[in-house]
Amino acid sequence: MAKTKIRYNPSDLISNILLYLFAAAMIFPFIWLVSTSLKLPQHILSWPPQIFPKVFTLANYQAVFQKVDMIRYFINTLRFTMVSTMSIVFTSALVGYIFAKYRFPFKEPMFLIIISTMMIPFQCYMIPLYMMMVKIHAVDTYLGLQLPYLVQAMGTFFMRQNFESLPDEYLDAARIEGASEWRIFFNIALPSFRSALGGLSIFVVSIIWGNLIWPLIITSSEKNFVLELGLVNFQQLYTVDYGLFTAAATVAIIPVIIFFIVFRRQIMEGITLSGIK
Amino acid sequence: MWVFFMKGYNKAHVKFAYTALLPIFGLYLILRCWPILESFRLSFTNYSIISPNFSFVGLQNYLKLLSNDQDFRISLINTMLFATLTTIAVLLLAFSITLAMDRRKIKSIGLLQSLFFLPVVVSVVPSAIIWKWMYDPQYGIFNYFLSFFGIGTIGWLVDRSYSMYSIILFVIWKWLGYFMVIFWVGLKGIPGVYIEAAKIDGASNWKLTRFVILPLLKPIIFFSLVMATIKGFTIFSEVYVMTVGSQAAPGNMVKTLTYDIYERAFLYFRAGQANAEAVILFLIVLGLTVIQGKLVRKGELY
Repeated sequence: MAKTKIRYNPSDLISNILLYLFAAAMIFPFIWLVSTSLKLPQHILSWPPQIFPKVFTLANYQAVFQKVDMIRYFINTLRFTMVSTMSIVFTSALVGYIFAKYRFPFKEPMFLIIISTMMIPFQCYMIPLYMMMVKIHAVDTYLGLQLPYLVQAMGTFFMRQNFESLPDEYLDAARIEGASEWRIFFNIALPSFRSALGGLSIFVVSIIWGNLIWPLIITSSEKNFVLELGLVNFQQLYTVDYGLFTAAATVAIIPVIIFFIVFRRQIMEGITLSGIK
Repeated sequence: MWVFFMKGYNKAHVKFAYTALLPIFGLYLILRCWPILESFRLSFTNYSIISPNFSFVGLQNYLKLLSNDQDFRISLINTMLFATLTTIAVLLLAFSITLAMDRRKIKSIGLLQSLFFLPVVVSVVPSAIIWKWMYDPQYGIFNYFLSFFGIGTIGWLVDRSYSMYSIILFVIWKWLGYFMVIFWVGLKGIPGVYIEAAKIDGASNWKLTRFVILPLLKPIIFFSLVMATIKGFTIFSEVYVMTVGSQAAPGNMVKTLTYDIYERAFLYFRAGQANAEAVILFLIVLGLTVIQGKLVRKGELY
């Protein structure tokens, strides 16, 4: 197939050009999004399309904030994401640590039960979960949205793998000094695995922030919408107004992009966490 | 009895482990184990989320789905088509781009990777809004690009014969960066001596890839394969948002299994059937996971 002798410099150059062109195509949709959101209605639907707006306007953004409570959606999303992340990271660390470093009766069966829930996609048990929320009157409430995301087996598994590398001698030394088991967990175990905890946090943020299926099922009134659901609903209300949609979508992705620029390395490692471990 | 269990264990350790573990284990039982078991049980009933009364109907839900259910058949075929095409395309692209990045001297690789990774970071709904706008049959930029090549307008999403493929294209764009990072980590994990040795032996780039890099990457490739397939089989958001609003894909044409489960349970109130469908989906995913386990174990032997 590739019988041609490869001369290094020209082919490096070509590879660079091709890869950067491809990358440009990958981010073109975002440029097009922002550009559309800054156009006047008559310029949005002009043919041929203009890559950059002739006249810049913020009218679409004003309209978005008048028509929907983006701030509210944003706060709901932030709360959902932060509480989930804190809970999942904490429970995963604690449970992972205990399974890695302690011996107690029924350890293996308990670990198996937790890990087996990791194999089952959320979509397979969301209906009984919904019925549970009906029973405890948590449909269309923050509580109902939050409950399923207090624990996550993937995190437990990941943290156990990490804690296994923690030498028992450290723990025993602390015990001789008279530290309680809780103290050892908080003061020795947790601080030694900051980067693993950081990676796990980013992984959890990435699955919660963009979650659509559970909010779609469990919430029905606008005051409980998360950003994703709010945007879906918005699209159903104003069916053809691309200026509005693109402005709303831009508002929704700006915080994410800023976050990504700041924590690039950690995010790329964190999101693919499940793949590397 | 208790003394028997406690034999050989450090009492203080057991006490700590149980105090810390049991509340969280309880959460797993309530929020995961119970719904999972309940989903199996309800798949044998005619349960509906709007009425509290139901009775057991045996295998009826399964038989109905497997024998003469148009929606289920469409969803299953769509899901398989979607999962297969997306997996193949995403993995091939991710692999070749990552390989090119690794083999050639590339300027600011970090920046380049970040550009490819951006669609992974941005959540599904805003991304879908952009793509729907680009796919617009009248004013969409895709049709404008096509006009350079003298190709007439295409109803990317609205045209029944294109809608599934348009969604696949969108998902490839969305997932590509994710698998690129996985492959990148795999490539960086190959000890440099192997590649140096092959080069000294005079291996061409093609031979180096085929006989050194590919076999060493086997576990990562198999892993990504099953990962992408499972992601594909459980796809929901990407398909759902593409069917919302005007100029969108026709829902009944691009239905996938999870989409159908959602519709059956929450729009048509046939939760029994939906649970049966969920169990079938689970069996498919389980099958894929088992295959993954086997392949990866084989792959590790090189």
